[in-house]
Parts: sequence; structure tokens; C-alpha cells
Amino acid sequence: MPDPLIEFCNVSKKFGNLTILDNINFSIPKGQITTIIGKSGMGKTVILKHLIGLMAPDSGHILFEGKKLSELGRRERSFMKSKSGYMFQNVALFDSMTAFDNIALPLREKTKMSEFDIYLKVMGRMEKLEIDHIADKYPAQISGGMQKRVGLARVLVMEPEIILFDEPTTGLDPVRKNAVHAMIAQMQAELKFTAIMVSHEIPDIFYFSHKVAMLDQGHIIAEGAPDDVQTNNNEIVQQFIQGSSSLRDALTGLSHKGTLAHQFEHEFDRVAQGNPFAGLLVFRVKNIDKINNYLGFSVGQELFRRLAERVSSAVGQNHYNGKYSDDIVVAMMPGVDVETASKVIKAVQEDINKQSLLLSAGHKPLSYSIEAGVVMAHKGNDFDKLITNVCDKLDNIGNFETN
Amino acid sequence: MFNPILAVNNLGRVSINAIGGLGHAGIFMLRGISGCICYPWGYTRFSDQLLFIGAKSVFVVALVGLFTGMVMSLQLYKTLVQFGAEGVLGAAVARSLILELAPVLASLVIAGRAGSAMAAELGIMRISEQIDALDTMDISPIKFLFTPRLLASILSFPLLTAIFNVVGIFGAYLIGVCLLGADNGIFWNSMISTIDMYDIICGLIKPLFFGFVTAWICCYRGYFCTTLRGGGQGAKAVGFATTSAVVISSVWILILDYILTSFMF
Repeated sequence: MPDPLIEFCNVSKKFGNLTILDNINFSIPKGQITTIIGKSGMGKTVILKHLIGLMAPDSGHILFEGKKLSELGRRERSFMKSKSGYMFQNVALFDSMTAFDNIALPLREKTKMSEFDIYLKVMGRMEKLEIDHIADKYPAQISGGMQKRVGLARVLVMEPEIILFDEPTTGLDPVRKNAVHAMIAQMQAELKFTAIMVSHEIPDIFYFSHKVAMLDQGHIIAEGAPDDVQTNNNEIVQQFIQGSSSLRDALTGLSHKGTLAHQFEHEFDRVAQGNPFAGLLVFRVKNIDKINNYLGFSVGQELFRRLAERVSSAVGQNHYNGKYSDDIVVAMMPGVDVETASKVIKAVQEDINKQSLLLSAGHKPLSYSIEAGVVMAHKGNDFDKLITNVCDKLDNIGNFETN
Repeated sequence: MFNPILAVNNLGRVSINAIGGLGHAGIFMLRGISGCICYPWGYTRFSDQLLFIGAKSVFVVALVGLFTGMVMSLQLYKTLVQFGAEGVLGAAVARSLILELAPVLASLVIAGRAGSAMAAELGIMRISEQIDALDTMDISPIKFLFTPRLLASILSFPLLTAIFNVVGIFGAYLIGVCLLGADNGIFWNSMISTIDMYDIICGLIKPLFFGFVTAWICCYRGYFCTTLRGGGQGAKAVGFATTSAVVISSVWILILDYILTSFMF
């Protein structure tokens, strides 16, 4: 983990009788993306406003490169501000200026660049964010998504070392939301700035954040790498993450892992006599992480949903299938032996090779493959163990490329 | 029942609030003035404000000036003629206009027109976080927003007052000489012999102060619209800031007029 750039030490903040931050301690590493999550009204924006100097803590202190923010002189504070950028939740564009003038403003005010150089730089940024065609439009004349991108361009044009994003994707459609996330991740990788983001976009933020902190009731209740936060045992953290997961599964139309495990046990209990068995079919999408990261979560979800559809039609009625994890679809066929189950896999293989799962993602091509395997399950077997074992010996049933 | 301790307590609280508020407004004003001497100068913003506060107020100021001169001429002529003193019509109209009416009326008109716009514009920028956005870009919002308005007001108010004077005297001439039949030569001669350069300069110094106070109050009320006592939040805060800015600056124009007049004459 890189050195912390900013540290919150026992910071408290109250608005009247309402405690927003209660002795919080956490750090923000340099050159990485740190995302603060939490329910609305928990004080996430307040944290950002403390960082940029729009608010001061009632008690405790904030360290910037080891120095207390409250003890910084006017020049040091100004220097710090000049190295920072803030993207407001409602963008806060100057409504009496055109998009071009909004982006050019910090260059005109804070540098001695010529008007020609400013023009080149601003237009360069606008082209990169695909908003060069709205340069002479006023904020009221452009859509919310465009406004967000103008706001992002205004922040990036000064090439700051620290950028604070306050819910940069709120109010955007899924496509624009993915575009903004991809843009932030791409720009961060390119320019290596320290990004501090407040967001509700779960699970998207887990894909591109280096660190995630969850704020609840004035306390940081979880902090660390995205995987650590996702596997955190805290009930509130899990509720918050699951709240989004439920929706995600509603989008794919597939059963949860828990539901699958329950059906697995229930199926064997139903058969009172003999030795009941079932064929478990496992399908895995390799590289789905890359698709989520580069093409957006919605594209990954669509790919997953289509695979599940093909599996569902191949296994037929009276059988179950569901989402075991972000990249695995599991189908359960009670009373079906390995040979029959292998035939089903063959049918899925033919189907997906006949018609690609992702017809057009509208982006640069990315390769992905589908793997499949089968295992026989008997009464008393551990569902998770069976899946883990079969995952080690899956066979490739197709290589594809998005186009 | 009258409680002397409570009364003293309230008086103390009100006094502390008043002094605190004055200090807060004073710091705002000083930061605005210091913005005049720090780079970058912001010529474009200054010229934009000069256009809005000055040039775009010419018509309404001239209109008020014309009718003020006309009605004064009408009233004064009818009174003076009873005493056979219609010869001093030009002097009476010009003196009233140059020393009192033009500076005060022109300033009140500009405060109503441009002052309300200043308060509303800054108020909207405050509630939509545009002022915070400037701050996060390390651009001083006071220098960016208040300084050009302050300078443009200080320059515009005396110039518009001069226009008010000229148009007002022309209106008085139209009614007094052309309509009511006062003597043309006597009208102008009485004016020239009564008004000297000191009067004209005093008449133009007053609006300089009025412009300063109007810009200060209106920008301050708009800039801090969300923290004003009784102002509320959002659109309500902007509405309250705008109304109170015009009322307070109008009252201060009248108070300052009295104070300045007592010093000048």
C-alpha cells in the first residue's frame, strides 16, 4: 500500500445537534482511487468538503502529506488547492458561461497561458471526452451526462494531483455511468492522480477502486481493498452491498447462489428412497472482469444473462439454473447422468458457436472464452465443494471476441 | 413583567450580533478592495459589469431624469410666478437636481435595477455551489465576483448622475421655457450664476459613495444569502437577499445623502 497522502485523525463534525462525523480515522493512499461508500445523508460529501477546505472539523485534524491542514498558511493552502480538483455532485458549472469557457476558466485565471494555447488545451480535453461539439453551448442547453463530462474536463484541465469526485454518476443512464467510470479509471491510470470518490455505484466501484471505505452513522465501519470490504462480516456492510446485489440479480433474472444451494438440498430431500443423484453443470465466462472494467458492468451483465438463457433452453424445464458467482452459471439436472449432462454441454457449445453471445458492444474488441464441466452430485455432498472441484477441470467450449 | 437582566442580555446579544455582522461585512468589503490591486486584473469582467450597471441603465435613468425635471419645472413655475420670481426657475431646478435629486434618485433607480440583479446573481451562484467551485479552483470568489461590480458601480453611479442632471435640466427647459413661456435667457443665466463648480463636484461625489455602498450591500447580501438571519435556504434565500439588498441599500443612500450634505455644505 503506498504512503498515505491524506489522513483523518479523530475528526468530528456536527451540524447543530446532529453528529455527522464521529471521531473518524482513515487514510487516503497517494496515486490511487479511494472510494467512500455509505447510505445517503451519512456525511460522505462532508468528508470531501473537509479535504478541499470548504469545511473545517469541530475536533481532530486532517493531515496532508503529514502536515495539519488547519496549520497550513495561506500560501500553503493555496498551493494545496492549486494541486486539487473537485467535481461537485451537481457539477456546479457556471451557468452564464459556455462549456468551453467553463473549462478554460481555471487556465485563464491561474496560468499565464496564451489564449491560443488555452484553446488547444481545452479543445484537446473536450475531444478526449467527446464533448468538443458542445463547446459553445451553455450548461442549460446540454444534457446531464454532458454536464458531468464538462465538469470532469474542467477538473482535469489543470492536471491536478488530487481529484475529489462527489457522486460523479448520479442521475446518469447506465451507458453514460459506465462511460464516466471508465473515463475516471482510464484517466487515473494515465495521469496517476489521487482520486477520492463518493459513490453509491455498487458493484462498479469495486472494479476500479484501489481502496474502499464505508461510512455509517459517523463512523468508518469498513476500510481496505475492495475484496476485503466485499467479504467484510459487518452486517451493515453486507446489507449495503447485498442491497445492490439483489438488484443486479433481478437484472439478470437468475437465482442467487443461496437459492441454488437451498434447491440442491431440497431436491435430494424430496426423494425418500434409493440413491438420488443429479448432474451439476458449471459454465464459466473467462475474462468477464476485463469486460466489466473496459466495456462496463452492463455489458458484462448482458453477456452473462445471454449465456444463462442458452443454458436454460438447453437443460429444458424441470431443471434449475442460477448465478453461482460473478462469472459462473450453474445448472442442476436431477436424475441426469454424466453422459446426458455432457450432451447438454455439447448443445450449449454448438448454440453459442453458431451465434455469438455478444453481437455488438460498440467498443474496442475484447476476447473472452466459455468453459464448462460436469460433476455428479449425491445426497450429502457439499454444494460449494463440488463446484470448486469441477472449476479446476473445466473444458473450453468456445473462444470469442466482442465486436 | 419587565425583567432588567433579560433586557440587558438581549441588548448585549443584539449588539454583539450587530458588531459581528458589521465586522464580517467589513472584511468582505476590504477583500473586495484588495482584489483591485492583485493580479489578474479581470478587465473583461469589469467591462461586462460596466456595460450592465452603467450603459444598460442609461435609458431608465434618463427617463426618470426627464420626468423629474419636467415635473419640478411645472410645480416651481406655478409657485414662483405668484411671487413674480419666475426668473429663478432655472437656478432652482438646477440646484435641486445637481445637489440632491439627481444623485439620490439616479442611485435609487440603479440600486433597484442593477443592485437587485447583483444580489440575485450572486445568490443563485451561492445556492448552486458555483461560488464553492471557484474556491476549489483557488480562484478568489470575492475578487472574481465582487471587485468588478464594486469598481463598475463606483464609476457608473457618478456618470449616470451626470446624465440625470443633463436630461433633467433639459426636461425643465422644455416645460418651463417651451410650454409655460419663461424667458429663455433668464432661465439659463440664473442657472449659470447660481451653480458653481463646487456644487457640480459635490453632486458627483455623492453618487460615488452611493455606488460603493450599493455594490457592497447588494453583493454581500447575495454572496452570503444562505447564512442571512431569517433568509432560509434555496430560492427563498435568494428572494430574501434580493429584496433586503435593495431595501437596505436604498435606506443607506438616503442616510448617506444627509451625512454627506451636512459635511459638504
